[in-house]
Amino acid sequence: MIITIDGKRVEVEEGKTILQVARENGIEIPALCNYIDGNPIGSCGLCVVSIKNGGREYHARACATKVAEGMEIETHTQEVEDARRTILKMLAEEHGEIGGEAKELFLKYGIKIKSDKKREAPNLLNNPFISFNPNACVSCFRCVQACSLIKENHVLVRENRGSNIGIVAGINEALKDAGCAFCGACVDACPTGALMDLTAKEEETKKITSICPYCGVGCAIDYYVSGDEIIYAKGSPNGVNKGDDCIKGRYGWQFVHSEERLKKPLIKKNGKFEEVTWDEALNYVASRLKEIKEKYGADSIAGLSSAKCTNEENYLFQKFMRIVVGTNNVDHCARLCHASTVVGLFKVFGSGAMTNSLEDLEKDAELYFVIGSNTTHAHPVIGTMIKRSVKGRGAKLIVADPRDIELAEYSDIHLRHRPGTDVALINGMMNVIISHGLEDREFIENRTEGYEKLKEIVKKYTPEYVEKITGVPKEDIIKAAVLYAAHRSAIIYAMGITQHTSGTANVASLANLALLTGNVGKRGTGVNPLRGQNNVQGAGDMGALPNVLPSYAKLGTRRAREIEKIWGGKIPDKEGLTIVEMMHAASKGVIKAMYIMGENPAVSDPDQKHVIQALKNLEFLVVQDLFMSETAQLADVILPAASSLEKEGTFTNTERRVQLLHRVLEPVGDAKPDWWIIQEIAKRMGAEWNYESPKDIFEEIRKVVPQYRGITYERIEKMGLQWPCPSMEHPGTKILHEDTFPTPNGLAKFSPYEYKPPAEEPDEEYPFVLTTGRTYEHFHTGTLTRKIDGFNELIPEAFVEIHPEDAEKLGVEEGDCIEVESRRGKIRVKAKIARIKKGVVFIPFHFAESAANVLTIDALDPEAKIPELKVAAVRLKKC
Amino acid sequence: MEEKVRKIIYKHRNDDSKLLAILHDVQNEFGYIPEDAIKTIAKELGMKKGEVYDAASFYSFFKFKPEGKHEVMICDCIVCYIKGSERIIERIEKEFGVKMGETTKDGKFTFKIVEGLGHCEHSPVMMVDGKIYGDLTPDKAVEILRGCE
Amino acid sequence: MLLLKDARNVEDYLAQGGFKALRKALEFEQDEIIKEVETSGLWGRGGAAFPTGLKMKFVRKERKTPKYIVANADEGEPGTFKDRVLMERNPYQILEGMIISAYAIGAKKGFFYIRYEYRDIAKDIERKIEELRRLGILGPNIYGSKFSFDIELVLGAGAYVCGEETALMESIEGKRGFPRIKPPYPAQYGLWGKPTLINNVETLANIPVVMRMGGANYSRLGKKGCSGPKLFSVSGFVKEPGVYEANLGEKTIGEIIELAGGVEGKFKGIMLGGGAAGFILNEEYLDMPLCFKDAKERGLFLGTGDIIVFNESVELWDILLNIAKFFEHESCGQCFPCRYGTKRMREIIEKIVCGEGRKEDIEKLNATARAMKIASLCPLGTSAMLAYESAMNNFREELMGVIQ
Repeated sequence: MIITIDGKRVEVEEGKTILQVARENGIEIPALCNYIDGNPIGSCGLCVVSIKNGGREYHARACATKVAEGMEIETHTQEVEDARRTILKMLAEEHGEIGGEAKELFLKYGIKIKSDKKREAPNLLNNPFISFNPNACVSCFRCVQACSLIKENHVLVRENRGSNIGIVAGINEALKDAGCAFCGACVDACPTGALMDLTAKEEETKKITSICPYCGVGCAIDYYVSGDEIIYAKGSPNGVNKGDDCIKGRYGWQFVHSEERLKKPLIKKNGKFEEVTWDEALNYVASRLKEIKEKYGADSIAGLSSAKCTNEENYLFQKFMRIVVGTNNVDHCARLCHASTVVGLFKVFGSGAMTNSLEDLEKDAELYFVIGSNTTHAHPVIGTMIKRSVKGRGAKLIVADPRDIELAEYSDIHLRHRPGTDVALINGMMNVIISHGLEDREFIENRTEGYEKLKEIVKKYTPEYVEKITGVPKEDIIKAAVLYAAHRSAIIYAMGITQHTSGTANVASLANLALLTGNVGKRGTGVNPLRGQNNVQGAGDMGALPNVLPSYAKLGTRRAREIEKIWGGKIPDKEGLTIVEMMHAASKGVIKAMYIMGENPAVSDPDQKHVIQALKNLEFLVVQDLFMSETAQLADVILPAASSLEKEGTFTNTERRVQLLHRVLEPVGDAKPDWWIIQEIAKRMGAEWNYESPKDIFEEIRKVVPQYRGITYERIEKMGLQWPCPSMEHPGTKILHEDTFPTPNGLAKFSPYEYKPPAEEPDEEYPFVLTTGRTYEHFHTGTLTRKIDGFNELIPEAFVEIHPEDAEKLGVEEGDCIEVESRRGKIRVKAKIARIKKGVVFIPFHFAESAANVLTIDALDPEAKIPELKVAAVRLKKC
Repeated sequence: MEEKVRKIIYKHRNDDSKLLAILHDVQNEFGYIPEDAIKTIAKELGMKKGEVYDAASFYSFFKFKPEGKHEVMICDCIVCYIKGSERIIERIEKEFGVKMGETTKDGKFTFKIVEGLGHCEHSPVMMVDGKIYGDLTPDKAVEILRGCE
Repeated sequence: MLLLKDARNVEDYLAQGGFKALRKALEFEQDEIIKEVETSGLWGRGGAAFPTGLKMKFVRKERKTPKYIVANADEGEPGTFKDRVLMERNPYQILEGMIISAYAIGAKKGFFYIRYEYRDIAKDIERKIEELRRLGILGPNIYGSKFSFDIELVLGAGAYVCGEETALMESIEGKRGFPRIKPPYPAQYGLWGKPTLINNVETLANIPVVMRMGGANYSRLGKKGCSGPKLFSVSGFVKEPGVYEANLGEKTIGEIIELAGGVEGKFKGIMLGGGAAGFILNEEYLDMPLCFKDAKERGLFLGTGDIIVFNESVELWDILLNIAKFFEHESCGQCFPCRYGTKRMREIIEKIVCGEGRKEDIEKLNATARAMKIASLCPLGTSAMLAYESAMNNFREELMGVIQ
């Protein structure tokens, strides 16, 4: 359509606002409160313009008025400019400390900000991360819009009205009490400098974009650096997160500046750690490993690689273990999180990774089936995406979780099933789908095999039968099944599915469910495991596993021989030990030495007492870490490593996206990147390695891992690529299995399982089921997050979530001390009365001093060897 | 308290427009809207507590702290004003030793100025606990209030 | 009287021919009813004076469902009390009008929004709604027809701005009463985003009148093109303040004042229109017929139709300060021009009342008024200066007399 703006006739697209059109035509209209185009707040009134149309003359807000055929718009008439000036003057008289981008507007109109009026600060000021200046706040409500429309948190709200209007959190509470997620969206939205990051200073900074060191979402974060210090950080618009972030992405970098960082190599001499030079430390490690290898054989040595290290480092670590030490005893913490994903999805689809991408899940999924994932806490940016899709565009949500996790509030159905009964629940849903004829026959026919066997097995899982096992009302099972089958549905899961003795069965069953309804290989569908660590996907891709080589190549095959050629060394054919097996072997004296890079098994692994005893039993333990972790304390040598913000390399996120890190800071003290350390040890053990940079290593990875072949540092400089990316021309793969499955015959294979109860069920002696997990604020064993004061202020210690009726029976009130005891040990924690299934309790696993893993059982999934961290029988007692 | 609030919410379960009605009933029950009631309402209506407070704090008749036993609203709209409301306000402030917006020390009265009670044919007027008193003079106003004691 | 009847009980109302219009309407096609209303020349009585039939037509033609109807009884203008009196004396006629309108536009659910200050009346209306349900006049299959309709009463909680239609709808939805940015208008995007007809209760009470006498006959009531009965709230310095009914255009301002017993004391001026959002006028206006069109010709609005009479005891700056305080208190705070403008106006006028007014203050006041007028989000902000501006026009000498 044609409109006239400031005398210029322009062709414009329908649906645009006057503000957008003006901007496109280089006309600048002041608009203080406009934040999200097309969602006008309308508070400032500065963007008002004069309009003539159809004989009518009027004024309207440019941000809220859509262009219409024949409109004649004047953006800067005397009248309008006078009004703008008057509005700004009135603001300046009321709010004496306006700063931020708004300040420029005042300069432009030549208005001095001058007022002695002081306003009372709302209670939200009480918090460790965000500052608020009430004398700068003009109540434009951009922060409120960010907190609601972008984040669906609704924590920042308006209080009162008229000139008493203001911004408060919740019922005028401290941010923490109001349920703030500390995502900083409000800070980013604030145009007047009223809301700021507490660490922010008026200092010249340079922006460096890298990848967040925490979860598998792999958010790009813009770090603002001054000298050798990060001043503040926020989600980068140029990443999978599109500007979003969470408390960890935004404030979690503070650990890099911790006083407790390891700065020098340490060797334990006479029971005490002493600082030594790198040369001494490296020589010592190399000679001790050689000695042990000669004495007991290569298989007496085991290594733990790390899902927190880069692809290059994981690649090098497993290569080191395999051809320098000469053993396949290499594993990493994926064993504890997604080993069952890899095995289960491989079985059904022929590939063990997340099938879809965040982008298509956000845009196209009509239904999310979230099972065993506390998404808003463990993968907050994806959690927000789901909340936004549900609230914003009416997507459906089914949550299956014994806890009332935050997403349950947003769900259409919440299936509160007993921990460990997932197979029964999923089989029950499939039973309903088949008995109602809702299966996708065409998909089953053309793209799968083994359907008859599935039908046979799920036959007995009627809703009535499943209700008995899971405790979920049969109506809900039917409703969930029908809803899932009737929509373009995406399954999202995490450790609530995988950390079971039935982990592989759980994963395979979800994959069966997706196949049954044809919800695979399309946008907005799929089976989507959310990876816990930033590089779990990559560590697996790089072969930091005892049974497969990089690219999941099997040992002893032709592929293995090909890799040997590239490596110039012999790869043993015998499978190595998994994490839990290593610990058993160590305690039996079969494993004599361990090289642990960036992991903390003394806290993270099940049956903690046993793990510590095993580590103590070693002849030689090398730990490479940022901090003196609980595991490091047991070491003979500690090698100080650089953090991911202090080095280069790549991480592969949960959606298979290989992303490039940029060095934000120089390593602290004498800390060195892990790849450098591994290479130096390898050299001293006779390897002729000469990698000059992570890029050198990556070039070798491209040769070894076909999925990564088309990826180069240059191609991923700005935005990562999703594997498989087999050639330089390939754009990467957003959705797996669109036309065929990577199986020998191209078909997916239904792999049904019978329900088997968890290894340990509650009984009279231990009547409660313990389940464990992550909190929003902390991460894993707390090695990083518990170094940050603000995080400790928010969640200072462990707690046990308990149903109100259970608490009442025990005579326990909120905050009371409870002793939780399993067959393996006991801990004391504070009670937190919560909405959780009766008979189930939850303890987060971040706290070494009251470690949940003292209680957990190391019973393993028979296929994936993942321990059952999610179910243990416990008893409770008031201390 | 949670039980009472839940009952109120249940009473309005079939209403399409719930929140204001629930808040009114809660205020009638407790004399004000306690924080815990807001939390319960939010939980039951699937809102965030902040959303409830955002809405509630907008309206001038919702109270978030307990007030005096009798609520006295004196109209100071333009009609009452030209008919002498200021003199009534002055007299009451003197008589009861309070300013408008305050509660008497004995907790008996909370006085408020309102603008437009909609009984302009009897200006000046005041409303005591929902009841309208019109054609006031300062003496008459005080007399009515003393009668409430 | 067509509106100010005394029909407080349903038996009285029925005895006076109540609900006959509804029964007649139920035999009409929906579009025929709207046609009648259009022909009648009925304009909205809530202040905006928008043609009622046209508004009904807009909602009727929307495809989205459900559709809603809202009766606006959030009468908050100082000096306006006609809705209250109407609800006390002739409540069933409002309800009847609401049911007919609902039938015409295809709404199954209505909301009756009453301000908190009228909570006793609200209780009474709620009882009457229940009563009509029992009589089969509300609820499923009204009078045995296929038409089902019910009404929910919503009690406001003290916010003048909720009289603005979009703010009122926000309030019904359980939110703070912030006016919405228009367009979209309620006919397209009303309650919960659905097509909604929102009318003042007096407008609704006119619908049965239209139906009973027919649109053409109704249009002949009063002056041509400005038709139908209208209620006028007369208050201030008159001998018998109250609500008076007259057909539009039939009586002048002076005649209505006479109807209310004449001026008490010496006449000084009047305030006409929507209470605080009205015009301060001098004796030159006494012969103006009370009609939307005549008002418009003189640059005024009839508003809700209230007349506050001032005698010589009234100081104009005091009045303006009272009005400024009112707007400051009732500004919702959503937009800057109104939030800060109302406060600034009050501050300046306060200074003037204290005898410290200077010429710059008047300039500042004028600049503030202009900014509010063009940049405020809703009618509250754009009408807050009308009293000041009109007073300046009509009593310039007196007002400027105190300015240094």
